[in-house]
Amino acid sequence: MKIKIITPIWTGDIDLKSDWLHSTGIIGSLRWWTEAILRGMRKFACDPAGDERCPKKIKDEMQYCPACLIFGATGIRRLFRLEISGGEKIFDGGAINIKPQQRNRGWYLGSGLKGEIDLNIIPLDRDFDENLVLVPLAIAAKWGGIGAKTQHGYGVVELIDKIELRFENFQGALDKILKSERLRKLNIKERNDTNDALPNIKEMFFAKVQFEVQNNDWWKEVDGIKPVSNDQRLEKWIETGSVPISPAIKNWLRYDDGKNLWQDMDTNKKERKENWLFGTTDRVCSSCYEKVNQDRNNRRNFWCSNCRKSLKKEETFERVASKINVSCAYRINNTTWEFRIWGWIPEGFQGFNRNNFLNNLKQALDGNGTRTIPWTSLLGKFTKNHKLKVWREFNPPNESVINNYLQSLLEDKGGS
Amino acid sequence: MSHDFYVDFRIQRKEDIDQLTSGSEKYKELTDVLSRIMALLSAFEKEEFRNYAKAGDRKKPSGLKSLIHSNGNYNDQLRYKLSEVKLLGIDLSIDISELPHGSWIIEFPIILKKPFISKDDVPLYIIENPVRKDKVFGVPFTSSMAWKGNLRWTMMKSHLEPVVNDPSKFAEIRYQHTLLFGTEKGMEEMAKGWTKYLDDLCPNAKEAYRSKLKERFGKDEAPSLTGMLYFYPTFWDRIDLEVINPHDRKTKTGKNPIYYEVVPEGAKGFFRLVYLPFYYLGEPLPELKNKVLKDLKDVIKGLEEMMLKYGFSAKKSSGYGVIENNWDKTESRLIIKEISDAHKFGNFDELKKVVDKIEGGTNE
Repeated sequence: MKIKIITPIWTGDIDLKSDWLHSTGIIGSLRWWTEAILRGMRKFACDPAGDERCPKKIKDEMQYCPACLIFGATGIRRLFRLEISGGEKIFDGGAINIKPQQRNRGWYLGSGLKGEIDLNIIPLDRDFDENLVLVPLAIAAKWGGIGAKTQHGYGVVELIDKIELRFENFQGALDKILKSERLRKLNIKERNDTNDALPNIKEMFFAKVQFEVQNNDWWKEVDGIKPVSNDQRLEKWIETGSVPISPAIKNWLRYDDGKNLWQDMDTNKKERKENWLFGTTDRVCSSCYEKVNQDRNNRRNFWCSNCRKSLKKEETFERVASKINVSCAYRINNTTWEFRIWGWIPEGFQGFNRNNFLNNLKQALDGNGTRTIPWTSLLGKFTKNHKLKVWREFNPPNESVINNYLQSLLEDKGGS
Repeated sequence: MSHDFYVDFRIQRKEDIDQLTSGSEKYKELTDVLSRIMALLSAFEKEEFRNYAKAGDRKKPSGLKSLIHSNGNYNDQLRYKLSEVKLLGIDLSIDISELPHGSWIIEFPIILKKPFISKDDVPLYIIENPVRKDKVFGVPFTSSMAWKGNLRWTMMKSHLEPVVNDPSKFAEIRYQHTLLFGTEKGMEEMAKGWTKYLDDLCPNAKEAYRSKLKERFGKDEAPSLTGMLYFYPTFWDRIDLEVINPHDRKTKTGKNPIYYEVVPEGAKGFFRLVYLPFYYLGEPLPELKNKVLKDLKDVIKGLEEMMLKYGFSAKKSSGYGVIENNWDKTESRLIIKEISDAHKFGNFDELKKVVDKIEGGTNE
């Protein structure tokens, strides 16, 4: 199968660059999407980077979650071999610094990869069905991104080979590998646990925004790009058919008037919510997201001034990525461009009203709310007719059946 | 002077790691890169240095990353070590002139299309996943056991799995594989491991397979037997370091990077396989020839699938461990003793054509 890279893909290497395509980066990303879908289906999917990862041993019984049964874990092989190749570096040299107005540091964007990816799936198990890989891949391709740094605009792809995918086939393939007779032969059990605050497709939102451009140089007016518009590295990026607008949008959302979409008026400790929603490179408390410093009374610990607690290292987060991903803009036709805003916003963070934020964001993108987006100052004066093309989120009770929702995502259905 | 390597070269400060990496100060006398890598081990003692000893930091590579990846020091030394290996006659072509009729040898250079990973069995190393290295020379290599295990697994995939619904064929091929590779692991009174897996794969072939063994070897119990295939290790000319950075599901950031040594793509080695038809000796020449050629064709099919499709390394499900289907023809060789002279081939298609010609009686 061939995959077209729409906005650069990032699969990092040991030098913190992305000079060539690392299959492990793509496989990890596919697993992330599979887990999110499984959790949406009320299946347990472990955090494979956490201490509670599979297998879970209870007495003499080994238990694996469905994600590990598909992608493998200690003691159980992946059901398929995935050969991934292709992609070429966009430019040589260091990262481009895109610094929107009033920012001191800006966003650093490294080369990434352009071109096409060849993906070859080789079954290693008789019970493997390609839908287990293709359905998550298709949902990621239609609505989100693959690879790393999707919050910075990387990773939008398109499946070149058009295959009609049905969610019921994913469900069927899953049932097949979870058959009790099969698991008994393997001497393992399906793990049923609780998915505690882990990415879940039911808690994700997806939006696509389109706009028209008046000339081919419109991108030179994008906030943050203007000062580096003559940089050859950026010109090479633009030649791939994508424009890194993520810094402009995120800057507005986090630091500018976009704050009104997520910030409550009475908040005093706004940085906690900000860290939770938009990420931070500081070490923060894992429960309140307040920045922590070394504890003077216990040098091994960290002090959270909000919780008034001394925390162990593992009770803190070293860094946090943004929950909101903004893709690069990519061309739809000669005059129309599109970008995606999507993310996983779970319920339950203290002081954050998820529904309010998503409603505000949707209305702002749609242009029918009280808060409007200053599109021309963000994307430049040569862009016009910005409109929310589609907004998707799981919306019970109107969409009470998750399978129908996932099928609609596969079919690219849904309106704003 | 304590006369203990790890005490004399013990790492006590962060600067020691940099000095060890560059081979300066007290580490000057450690000219062998592998010795310097082993000396990094003492950094394990101090948690604050552990990660620095693996890769340095964001601003400056140091430790293992420098020795293996950034500076290429290890690769420079590998060239020298490989010439020593050749000088001692270890990695050279095999003479089959003294072997029985029908013996054959296949050898060809292999160039990796995707990195190769294996797990070394050293008890302590600065990272969790060192690539397997020869104990004497420190050259990364694919052991003969690894080749054998991977080929047997691949031939099970490509020859046995497709005939699970044909028990008599299944039993026949399983028997052929036993003659080629030797007794299955787990062939005990209560079958387990590989044997149990194959028994379960096609339960109706179980008895037929055992009967064939008993019939051939004239014993009540299936005997322990050696296979007709002899594998040789492949020494690789390059080594590198890679990292996987699993992302925390809550913070979506990399957490505890896992470093692993690899033989990188583009590395070159040599594959050699010898076959001795000792279970067919004494049979009339035409019959012997048929059996030998059938085994040869099946093994080539298995080799092709192993090297081009399934891979032959750890993490092969992530696409690792496959080779380019194109090599220097002049360095290749297929000889079947008393049946065919030496033939050259530049890829698997050419190899298969050579065998077809030999089978058809055109020994050119």
